[in-house]
Amino acid sequence: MTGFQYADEQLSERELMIALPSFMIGVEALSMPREVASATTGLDGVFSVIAAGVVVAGLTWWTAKFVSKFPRESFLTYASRIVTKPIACILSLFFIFLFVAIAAYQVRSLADIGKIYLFDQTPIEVASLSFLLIIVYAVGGSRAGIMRINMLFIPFIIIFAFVVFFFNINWFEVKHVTPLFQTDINGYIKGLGRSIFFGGFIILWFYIAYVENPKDTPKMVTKGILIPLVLFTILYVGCIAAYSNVVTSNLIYPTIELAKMIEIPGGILERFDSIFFVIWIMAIFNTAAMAYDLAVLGIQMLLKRKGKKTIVLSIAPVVFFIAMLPRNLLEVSTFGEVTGYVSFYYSIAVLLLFVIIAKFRGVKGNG
Amino acid sequence: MARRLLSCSFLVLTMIFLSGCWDENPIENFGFVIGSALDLGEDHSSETPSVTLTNQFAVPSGFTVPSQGGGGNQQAYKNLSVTGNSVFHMNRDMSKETSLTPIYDHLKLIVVSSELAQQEKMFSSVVDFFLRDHEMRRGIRIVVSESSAKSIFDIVPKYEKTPALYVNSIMKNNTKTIEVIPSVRTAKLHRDLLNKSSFVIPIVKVKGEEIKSEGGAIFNGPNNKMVGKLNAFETKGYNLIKGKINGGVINFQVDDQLMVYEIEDTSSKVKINPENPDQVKIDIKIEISGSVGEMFGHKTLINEDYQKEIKQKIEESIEELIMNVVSKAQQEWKVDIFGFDQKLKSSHSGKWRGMEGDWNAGKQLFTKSVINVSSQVTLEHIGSTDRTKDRGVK
Repeated sequence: MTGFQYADEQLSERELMIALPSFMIGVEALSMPREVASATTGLDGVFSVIAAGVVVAGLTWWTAKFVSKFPRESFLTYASRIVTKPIACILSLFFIFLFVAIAAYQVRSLADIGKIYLFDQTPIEVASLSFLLIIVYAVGGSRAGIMRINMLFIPFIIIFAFVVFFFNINWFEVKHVTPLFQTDINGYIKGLGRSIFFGGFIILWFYIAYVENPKDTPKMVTKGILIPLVLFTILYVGCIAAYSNVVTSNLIYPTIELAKMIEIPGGILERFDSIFFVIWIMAIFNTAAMAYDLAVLGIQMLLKRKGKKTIVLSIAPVVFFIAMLPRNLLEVSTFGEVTGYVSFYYSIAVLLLFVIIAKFRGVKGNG
Repeated sequence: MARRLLSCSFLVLTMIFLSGCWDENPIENFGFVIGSALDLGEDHSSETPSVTLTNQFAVPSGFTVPSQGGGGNQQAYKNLSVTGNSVFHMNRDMSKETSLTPIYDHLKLIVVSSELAQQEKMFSSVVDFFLRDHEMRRGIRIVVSESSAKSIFDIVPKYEKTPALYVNSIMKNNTKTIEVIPSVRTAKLHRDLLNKSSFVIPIVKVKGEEIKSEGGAIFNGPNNKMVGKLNAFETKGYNLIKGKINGGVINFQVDDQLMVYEIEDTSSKVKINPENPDQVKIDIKIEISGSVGEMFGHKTLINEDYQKEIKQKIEESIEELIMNVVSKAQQEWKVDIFGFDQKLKSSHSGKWRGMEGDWNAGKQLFTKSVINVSSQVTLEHIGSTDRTKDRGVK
């Protein structure tokens, strides 16, 4: 059987700009308000979220700036020039491992949330496997396909985040938002740490290589960060204003509960949350598919093999196995946290390492 | 060829396995719970008192308009009671008794009997299920019934399909008048329970064939039990402090004649000065605008002095209403039901941290606070006529 071949494997800058928010908006958006709220008081967490957005935007710009100095070069190529080949291989291996972990986490969380809210009889294994198979199908095709799905889904995700916010306005109360500025500095920092929402810029290490002329890329991807920043901010404000800080920090998935609270007058649509789930599963799918795709891309790069389908199919069991490792909800969320932090700090570490060594050894890009 | 056959048969086989649905559950097997009533059970042998859960299930065929000559009026609901120690458990038992699995996605109303609410720490335990379960929405209305909660579900409503929906629409429609306590929904209840603040839940009563919302049940936050009741008079004072009313009347006397003031809009401003925690100063300022709705006297109203007198009388009666409920809250129930604690927390959070545990409980600082009321009334208009009777008649 031969699959349908798209015309090219190139990414446009606009596609990369959309890929970044698509990768960032995943499962974390559903539980993020709880984690931030529990570290802060009142609405103060929103400053942490915005600060985290600014930090991530800065790092994104820096990473993009650095990588775009090596246009059309794969990670392995430019990394080898900077830190010699063996080290580059080890670095890529760890990247691959991270992407596999991210994909596994998204798959597992989706199955868990689905089991709580949508299908309580279906075993987690079955739900995960079906979701994973769809991801395998998407990744097995062309990369352009995944990017087009990103483009297609992101407007819906944005629209529904706004709908969730605005349809809850009648629940908002001023006394939920106050007292402002009562969090101590430690709380802000904790909140900032918890709202880092995945080091999404990690995807830039690999995807910029596919951009034809990455001159404007740093600017474009930094603009892309605006989408998750605005989205996370309104979801956070919505949760706090509708529920108050103390309730938000006690709800397991505040964003889902926020969607469940919507009452459309007239009873035409009593269960808005079902539509919200449909939309958010699309967001989770994008994140998982891209993480999977990046893992495949990394392996392809290391093995220098063109047989993409073999790689796609052979890492599927690994992803599934890792996804099934956590035994309960608590372990799943720890798994997610660890993956998030590690990918964030690893990406920063690699960036610093490359910038310093490139300067030291005088490695110059050709872009 | 053999390969083609193999792949074909594989596809057919997949089709068999993929077409199933684990959670397939025909809608006829679901019992849609629209109301839950919680009563104290009769069994007092164990340490935690037993609870009786009565669920009102919707019967979908009763909601449709009967076709001509059809079986007549079918009841649109069905009540089912189970007694046990945990709500979740009773829920399980309920599906054993009927062929239906209760699902709570469309639950509209929770009724708790005052008898159950007065038990120590029972209230938060029984509502836990309604806050925890994933099927629950956060806009469920909650009321306290004066008699048994079950009796609320037993009346035959005239204007609505089921008793639960009847109570729900009563609660929904009178939210902003001075006479009734605004309805409480689970999202707000959850907040108050977590904050350990005291709150008021509307009381419903059965009156013949009708249900009436009258007064409120006062819950002590730290103890989490019902400690008293607001009567109709106190309810007015409570609502005035809470503000945001746009309907209702205030009766007062001018020259021994009854006069009715119709409220159109109110706003209340609460200023708290916690300089001295043992004597917190609370100033309540209320502004009301409204009109004269009815008068028994015959004096002309188009007279500045007389209007001034009327305004003063209204102000007096408003202040009386408020002071009455405030002093009762301080002396009898000893709980802050007006949300002063939230106000303190948001505008004096530094001080609040020191007195948090002593406001409703401990040293009971609320009962020692000094509360002042002032009001300002504006008379917007006097109706479409000045007088309706001549002074000759008496």
